[in-house]
Amino acid sequence: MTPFLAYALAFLVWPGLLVAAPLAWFELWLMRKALAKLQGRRGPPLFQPFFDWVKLMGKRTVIPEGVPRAAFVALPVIALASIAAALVVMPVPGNPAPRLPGDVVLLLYLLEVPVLCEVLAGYVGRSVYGEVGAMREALMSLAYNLPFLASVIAMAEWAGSFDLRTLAAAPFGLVHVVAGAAFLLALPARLKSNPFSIANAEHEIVAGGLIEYSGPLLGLFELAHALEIVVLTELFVILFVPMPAAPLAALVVWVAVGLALLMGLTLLAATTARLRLAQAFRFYWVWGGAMSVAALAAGLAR
Amino acid sequence: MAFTIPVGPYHPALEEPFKVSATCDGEIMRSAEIQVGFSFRGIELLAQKRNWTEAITLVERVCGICSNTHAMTFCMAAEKIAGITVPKRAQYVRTIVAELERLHSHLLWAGVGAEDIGFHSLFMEVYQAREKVMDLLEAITGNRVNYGMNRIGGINRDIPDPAIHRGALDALKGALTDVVVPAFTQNPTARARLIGIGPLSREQAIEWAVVGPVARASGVDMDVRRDEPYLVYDELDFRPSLRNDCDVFARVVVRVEEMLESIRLIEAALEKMPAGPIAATEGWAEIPPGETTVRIEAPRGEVLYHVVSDGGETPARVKIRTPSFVNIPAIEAMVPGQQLADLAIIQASVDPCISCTDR
Amino acid sequence: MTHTDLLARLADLPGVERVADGANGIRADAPFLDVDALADALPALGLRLGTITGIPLGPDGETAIIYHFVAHDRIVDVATVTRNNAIASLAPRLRPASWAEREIHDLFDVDFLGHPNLAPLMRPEGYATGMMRAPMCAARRPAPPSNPE
Repeated sequence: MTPFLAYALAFLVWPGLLVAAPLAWFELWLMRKALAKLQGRRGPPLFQPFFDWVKLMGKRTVIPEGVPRAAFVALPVIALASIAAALVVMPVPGNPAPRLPGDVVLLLYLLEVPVLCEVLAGYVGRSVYGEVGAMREALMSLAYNLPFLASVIAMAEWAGSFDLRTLAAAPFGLVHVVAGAAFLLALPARLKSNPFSIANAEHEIVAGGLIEYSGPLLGLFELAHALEIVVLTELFVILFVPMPAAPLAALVVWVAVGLALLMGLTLLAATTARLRLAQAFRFYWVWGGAMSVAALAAGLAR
Repeated sequence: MAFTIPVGPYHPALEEPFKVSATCDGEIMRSAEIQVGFSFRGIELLAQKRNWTEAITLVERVCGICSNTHAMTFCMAAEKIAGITVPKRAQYVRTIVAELERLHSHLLWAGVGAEDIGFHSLFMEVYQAREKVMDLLEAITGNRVNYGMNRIGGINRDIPDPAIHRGALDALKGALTDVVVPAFTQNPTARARLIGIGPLSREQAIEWAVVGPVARASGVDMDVRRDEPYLVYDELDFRPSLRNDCDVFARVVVRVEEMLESIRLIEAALEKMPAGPIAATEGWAEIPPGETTVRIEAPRGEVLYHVVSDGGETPARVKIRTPSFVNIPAIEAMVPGQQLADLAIIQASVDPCISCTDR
Repeated sequence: MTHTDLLARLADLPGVERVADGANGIRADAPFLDVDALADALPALGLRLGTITGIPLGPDGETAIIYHFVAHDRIVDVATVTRNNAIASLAPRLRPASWAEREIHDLFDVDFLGHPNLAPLMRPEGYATGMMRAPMCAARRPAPPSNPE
């Protein structure tokens, strides 16, 4: 298989779009159903996230007057492409893509692109709500990236390499627990879920950065957001959870940890109000900062 | 760099159309400008084209949340002009329905307030508790909204067996004290979003002449049920709430205390209800010439009705001043220096009822 | 302040001709009310402004203006009439008067002299001020005479 074909297969099929998209919709459904049960409701049927996406893709897109067309259309495409590229890098069994040296760094940069696209989308849309949303998204990413990056760098220090497969195979140590906790701390803010649903707070700024998006372009952004959940849960399991050798046992561990993550996020979202930007910022620089220091220290201690 | 962010007329934070334009510096608000009138229906003119009984049905529809308040106050004004004394049993039933309305209105507000701080799950819990109140209202009046209980001279429907509602009230009290009250007062993220927000000092409260829970949360001790008792509040040992913290959290606590007091009043009224007729008059009411001003304590505060009669079939003038008409302008005083993220809960904390304001 | 004290002070206000105290509350009739003197006296009287009612006296005539004040435990109505459909504004001295006067201006075209911001409050765009005058006057249907002969 030529490298080009291998990458194309990884991007489009597995672990890329064709398999990851249904997986993402399934994970979304799990969270929505759990949230409904916690709130005393029935919750949506299994295919609801898929139906929502199909509905969006079938609608007409409206581009507001005075908005730069090319940028407006390109941003969701770039966001989706970069998150799908991040999926290509993940060292999951059966991934046809060849190993890339230093792929941890590539992954981190690819994960930042969708965030950047949403920030730009808020400014490109020329709506005052979008601008406030974009500003909040940018500030929040400054906040949660501290523990997020620190946790990944701590693991890289421990493993002595920036290779994902090496990190995954590193011997278990205290760093796994501390850095894992720092990663979990950053997770709700990355996924814009309560109490950190600040950039897309409907009761304050209607829809945040994506307010002027509709139809297929919004569908692409929503799909990118859903795939982010898949990437981040996969990343957590790969980096911080030691895998048993047997493939079946590994699959069970993978599913169990993924499920626990999603349920934990849902429980947190259900039992909290939304914090203010300044409160969230302070929280991440104080507690996130402390956890980052602890994680890096654990990573350096050999 | 200053920019103006419009909240309304259509916005997820609002249930009814009005507009608050906040001028901001980054995330800090400097001032706000308020526009109302989007729901103006000319009800005061329509009231002059309906006879006295039809007018009750009309004013009941000024607002869906405090519908009974309007109908009852209008009837009280007409009764005052005509010198009609309402029988005791009817007064008790009116009190029970009025307090049930206060309960459902405060619970509705609590749910909306929870939404505005992003606490979606609490909104669901509160509305489940509110369903108990709606069931009780439906059992007593036959409808969930616009009860049609009031007529000039009394009420339309009796409560034949007061004791059967006791269980429902106990269940409601349990839901309030076990779920709603702790969620607002003890949940750390809710407290972080409510305490110290949207302050309105006592001096400002008096300057802007605010009424109702907004005034009582700013240390202004006023409640029509105690100051100028109507119906049977003087027989039920009514105690108003009062807080001095002047912020959004104080307004939440005042409403919570009022909910618990309402349950106590309903229980006492169900027990003490005397036997007797439910209306003083039969058939259409005839109102002689005269005019009067009547006020009662609606869920949002003091409601004033000025009714003029020419002796004719229809009222000559019906002037309605609802509490939101004086409370909504006070938002401008609560906004300066606050964060943009708090605008939703600040405007919600005065419990704005636009249908009442615009009529 | 006692009840009789309040009645006496109301009667002393410039422009007040008659103070009635009956089953329908306290009402002071003041066809030539001095609005500024009223505003001066309010703090001492201990009254809070509830609202202001406007009643059109004919499609092109004057408008009756009734100020509804609230003492702690009773309502005090002060009734007056406009002159050339204008009257001095209470809004510069009393905040709650602002919106009440704007509404009366929208509905009955009363000019409140000295109001800081008489912009439309209730009036939809495209409607002239005084939109309620003619309809409200037309809708008044007084009782027929008791002995039609």
